[in-house]
Amino acid sequence: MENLINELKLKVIDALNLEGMTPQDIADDAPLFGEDGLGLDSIDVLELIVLLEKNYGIRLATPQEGKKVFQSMAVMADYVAANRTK
Amino acid sequence: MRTVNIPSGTSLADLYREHVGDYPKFFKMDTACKLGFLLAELLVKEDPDRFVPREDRAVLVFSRFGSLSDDRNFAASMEELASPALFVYTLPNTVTGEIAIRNKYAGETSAYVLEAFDPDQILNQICLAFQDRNTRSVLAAWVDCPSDQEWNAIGWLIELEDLLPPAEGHHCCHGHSGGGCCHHHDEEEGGGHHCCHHHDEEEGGGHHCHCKENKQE
Repeated sequence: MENLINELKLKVIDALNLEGMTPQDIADDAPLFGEDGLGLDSIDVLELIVLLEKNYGIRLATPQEGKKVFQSMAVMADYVAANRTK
Repeated sequence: MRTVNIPSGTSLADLYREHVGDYPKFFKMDTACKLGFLLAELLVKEDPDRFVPREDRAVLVFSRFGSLSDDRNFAASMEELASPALFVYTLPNTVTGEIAIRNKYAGETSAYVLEAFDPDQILNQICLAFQDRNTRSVLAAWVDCPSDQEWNAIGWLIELEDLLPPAEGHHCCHGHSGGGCCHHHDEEEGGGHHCCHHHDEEEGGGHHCHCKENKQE
C-alpha cells in the first residue's frame, strides 16, 4: 500500500501541475480539498477522475462520487487497490 | 503609462518564481494565460493598494490567435481522454479572467481577436473603455500565442490621467458618440495649445474628453 500511495502522489503532482511539490509534502491522511489540504478545486476533481480511468481502468460515475474517493491519498489508494482493472 | 514585454522563449516558470511565487494556480494555466498573468504582475506589482478590490480598472486583452494553442492541446488530449484542466482554457477571455481574479478587479474585462496587431484599433478600444465613467485605469495587453513556444506579449497600464494633457498639453481625446479615439496633435495644428477636459457626470455620464483650443494671449 505504501508503494501505491507514493505512486498516486507522483501521478497527482504531475496531472495537476503541483509545481515544486514532492510526495513527502503530501501527508497520507491530509484532505486534498479545502484550505487545510492541497487546495484542489472542482476542475481538479475531474482531472483526478480522468487519472483513475487512464491509469487504473476505474470509471467514477459522478464528481460527487469522486469527492468521497479523493478525501485523502490513503483513501484514494484503498479505493484503487480494491477496484483497479489494470 | 507603464509598458512591459515578455520576449518569446523566456522561461515563464522562472519569471513567475522571480516576480510572483505565491500563486500556485499559475502552473495550471495555459501559455496565453501565463503570459497575460505575468504581464499584469509586472505592471501592477508596485501598486500601493495592490489586492484592494477595485472596479475602476478595465482589463483588455488583444491577440490574433486567442486560445488556439490550448485548443490544440485539448484536441490532442481527446485522442485518449479529454483533459478537463485543458478544456477550461479553451476560450480567449480566460486571460482577462485570470488577471481579474488575481487582482480582485471587478471592472470591464474584454478579449479581442484581431486579424493583425493594430495599434489604432487597440488604442480605440482603450479609449472606449475610458468612456465608462467607472473606468479610471486600463490594463491592456497584446498576448499573441500561436504555440507554447513562440509568442508576442506586451502589456500597458494606462491611467486616465495619461490621456489628459501635461502642462503644455499635446494629447487630446475626442469623445465620439458610438466610438472614441485619442489623437495626438502637433503644435502646428491650429497654432495654439490643445488640452483635454475630463467631464465626469455630463453628457451621458462617461468620460468625455474634449479638445479645446487655448490660444495664448
